[in-house]
Amino acid sequence: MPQAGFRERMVEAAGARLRCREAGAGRAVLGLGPRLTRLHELLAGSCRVVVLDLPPAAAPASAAAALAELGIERCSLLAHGAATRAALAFALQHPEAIEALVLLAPPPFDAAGEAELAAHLGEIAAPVLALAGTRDPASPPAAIRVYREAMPNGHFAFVYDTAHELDAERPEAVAALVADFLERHERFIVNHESGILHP
Amino acid sequence: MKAALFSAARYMGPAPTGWPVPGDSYSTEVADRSLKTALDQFALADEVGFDWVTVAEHHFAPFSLTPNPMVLAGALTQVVKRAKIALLGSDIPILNPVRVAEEFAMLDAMTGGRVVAGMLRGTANEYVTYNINPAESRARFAEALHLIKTAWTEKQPFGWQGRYYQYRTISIWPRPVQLPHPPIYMSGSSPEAGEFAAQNRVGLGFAVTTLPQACKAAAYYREQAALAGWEPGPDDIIYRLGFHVAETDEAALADLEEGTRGQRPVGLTLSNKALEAEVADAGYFGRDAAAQRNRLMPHGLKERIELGQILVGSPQTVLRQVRNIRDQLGAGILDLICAVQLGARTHRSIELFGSAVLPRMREL
Repeated sequence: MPQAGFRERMVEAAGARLRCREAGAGRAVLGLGPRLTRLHELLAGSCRVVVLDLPPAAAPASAAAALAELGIERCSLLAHGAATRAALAFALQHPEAIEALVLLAPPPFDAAGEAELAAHLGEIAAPVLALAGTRDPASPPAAIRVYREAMPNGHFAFVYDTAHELDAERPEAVAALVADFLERHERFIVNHESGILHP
Repeated sequence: MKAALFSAARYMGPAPTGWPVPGDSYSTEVADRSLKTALDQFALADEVGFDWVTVAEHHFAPFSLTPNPMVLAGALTQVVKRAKIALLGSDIPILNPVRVAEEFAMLDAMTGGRVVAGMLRGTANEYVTYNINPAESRARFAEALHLIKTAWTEKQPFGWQGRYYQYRTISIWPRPVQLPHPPIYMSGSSPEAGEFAAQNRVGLGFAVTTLPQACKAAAYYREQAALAGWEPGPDDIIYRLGFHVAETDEAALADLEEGTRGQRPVGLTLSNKALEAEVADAGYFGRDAAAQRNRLMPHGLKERIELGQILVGSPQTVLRQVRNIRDQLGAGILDLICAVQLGARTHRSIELFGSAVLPRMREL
């Protein structure tokens, strides 16, 4: 079922053909597909959202090739759940291409199998925002807190009253926060919305 | 079994009825005397062995000169050196939850871990106070409570993207002394409250009610807690009621009649019928609305005694009444408000309760 407003096509990258769905204009945000929710639709109101279905094994290389094909030099990454690992790997391998990272419901790091990746988190200088739902046992506070603890410009926030599919359950709440973070990075902590009730 | 002394710091002078109450007849001398009386009675309660002292939140009326219980609790940290300081409660849906979390943490830090964090929805009129929609009461309460607990326990600066509350970075200093956080109580008379308290493992307080109604609500809470996999103990249940102790039953009753003569027993919400009706229409009272609105109805003195709303008599008689509440309700904490303010006789009532009733209550 095509998502509202997204144009679908295939992109040649590193010897593979990847499904690409795109909407909006402006700052480039690469969503690690196939996940595409109402959040992506809302972000397309202020960004150029490109959702790319990457092969998990070769994600960073494929993504780099696809971005070159799409003519995108720098972008922010948006990923959910297990796909957040590919976003981190890409940021470590191609720091010059990354503006910011948004990680939705990342799983906790497996001490045994992921020690290497966890140890390198501090090398990611880009602004990073990790979000998890308050009712998501798959992404507990420790799983998002780590990004603040380990990274020079890491932030995290709880999305109240959502479970694992937070971007589908409360898309407006997530979009408002993510859109602001993508635009202002660490400055997003300062409220810049009008508080005037009536003129 | 434990006892708390509760004072609303009632304005001890003539004032108009209705709500909100205009300030044109307000006297600073009367207010000064009223606040000093409250502070003296709290200090006395601490001296004679009460387990807690309790403050609460009510606005815009002579009924209470503590619209901000945190302020009075702050004063009490320097006056009450042994008893716990309980706020029953802070009306969280109308407040800033981060501020509430900070204030409780301050009180806990200033008392070495003696604060009791009551968090209430507030009486219906409180929503008018800060222009909050009462229809949002329960949803705001649930979110505010979750945010407050997170602010107390999350050590890294975090953002909160809620429905009613939104913050980009929260990291409170000071932090609570009690771990994981101060004990939490909420007001428990409605079925919705019983369910929520059971699911969230917080204690329940029953106020502005009768013993039979409180017993019914407590039974429901226990039932819901069992479904959620735990069993509330006596210290999870607070019962608030009036008290007056004297040397004899006759003297106590005579004091009570003297002290309540001419008083119109109408609570804050019922003082403004339009307000009460509008709030009721907004769904404030929940699915058991008739019973919840009925709790607010005033009763005569004799009825109040029979319904377990006042402890009155000699220490022996009062102890029997306390035992009856323990047996029927299983409450571990009685939150006691002086039923009458008669100067030296009220002072004596607090002393007698502390010296002659409390030591026996410990055995219950």
